[in-house]
Amino acid sequence: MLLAAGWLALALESALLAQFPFAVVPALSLLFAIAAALLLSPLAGLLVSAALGFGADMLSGALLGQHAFLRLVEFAVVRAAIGQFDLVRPLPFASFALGVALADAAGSAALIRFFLGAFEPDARGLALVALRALATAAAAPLVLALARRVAAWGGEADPRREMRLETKRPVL
Amino acid sequence: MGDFFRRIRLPLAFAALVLLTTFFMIGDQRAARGERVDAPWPLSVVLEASAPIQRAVRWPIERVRGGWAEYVAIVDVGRDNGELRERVASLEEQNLQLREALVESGNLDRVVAMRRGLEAGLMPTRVIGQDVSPYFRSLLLDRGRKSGVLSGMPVVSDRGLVGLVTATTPSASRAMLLVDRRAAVDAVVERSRALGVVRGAGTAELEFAFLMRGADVVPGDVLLTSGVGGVYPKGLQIGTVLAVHAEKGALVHTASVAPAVDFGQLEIAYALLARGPSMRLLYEGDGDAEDDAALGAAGKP
Repeated sequence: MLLAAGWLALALESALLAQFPFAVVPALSLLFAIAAALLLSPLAGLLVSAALGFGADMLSGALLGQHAFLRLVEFAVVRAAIGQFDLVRPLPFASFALGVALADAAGSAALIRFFLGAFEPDARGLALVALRALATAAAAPLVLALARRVAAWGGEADPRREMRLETKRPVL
Repeated sequence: MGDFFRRIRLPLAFAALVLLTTFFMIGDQRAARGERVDAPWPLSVVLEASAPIQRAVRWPIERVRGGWAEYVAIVDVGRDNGELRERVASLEEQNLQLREALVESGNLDRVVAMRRGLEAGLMPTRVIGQDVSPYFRSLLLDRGRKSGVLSGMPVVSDRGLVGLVTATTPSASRAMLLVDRRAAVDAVVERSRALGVVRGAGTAELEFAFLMRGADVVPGDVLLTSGVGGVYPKGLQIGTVLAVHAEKGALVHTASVAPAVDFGQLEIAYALLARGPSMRLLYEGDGDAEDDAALGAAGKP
């Protein structure tokens, strides 16, 4: 279900990009990939992230496998971050999504430079990427809430992900 | 043993997927160098499935925009009518003079034949989506193989050249825009006939690299497709030269070019239902039966 919702979000993102400026349309497919890594069991999260990446490759002129590769790296980052940060609350999750969106853009640029040769992003391009990352961060809590509902509805949510342990000791 | 595999299946799956994506990227990079940039069919399913969703999203937005534009436009309609009538009269007179000049030079038949040839092979398509990557520029179109649109076919608009179809499904296709960093087209300066290559840079402007030193290229010159390379037909408008960057002693000079087409505002584009000679060799030379069947169904011009 989360994969279907992610592909739907991808199609929506592409359609919105045809109607609205690039900087204001959040990277919905990226957010769904992060949500999949957060909410699903590790193997399911990995497969959904990769599938969403391949979907993005198809709706883009990018190298085939480029988005999928980045989604895999982002999956690993999210899994590593789960144990370090509280990604359940909106503000930390939005901040985390901002970082991932910026890293995704940087990773894309690096892959283009590696596979297609010279690549020098201009100031306007960088500003657009930064603005889009902000738009993505703003939409992140909403998308996570939606993804959580979809995963719960489809019976896909990994119950261990939501468990939070109280680690504070009483002050003596 | 079973427990061991259960423990390593995640790292194993991760490593396998990383290898798979790397393999795809290397393969696609090689395909792009060979200029055949079509996607494997399993991934085309995503493009095909997303087309109806994109059409559905586009519809209400267009209605709201169209309604507002009509409301605003109606305010000035009376004044515009008068101006347009005067302009039509002037253009009709100009058209008559040009026809007479063409008949005198004996070129009219050839011009009419060329125009018919182009018109017969045009398939109108709506733009239903844009590239989701910030570094690549492509469009998703609502016509595919069922309408005769195939990979390797040029895409044009009423303003000029748009790009090239790079992936198709039965009812949708993806076109790489002229401004994409992987796009290149052989061009000629309309005024001076100087030859060169126009390349996309992933930005709003194009780069025109012309080979001959001292070639006559100045700001304001209009660039057309030269037909060299066998991908695009001759005579399609590419854009207008903005500035010439002539480095002292350099063999190749460059110029920045404003595309004739405003890609951000493009709503309807036309696929030319005929591949150029190079694209025919590339796609049809290896017995692409599905493509040939689709061309036959659409009525190859």
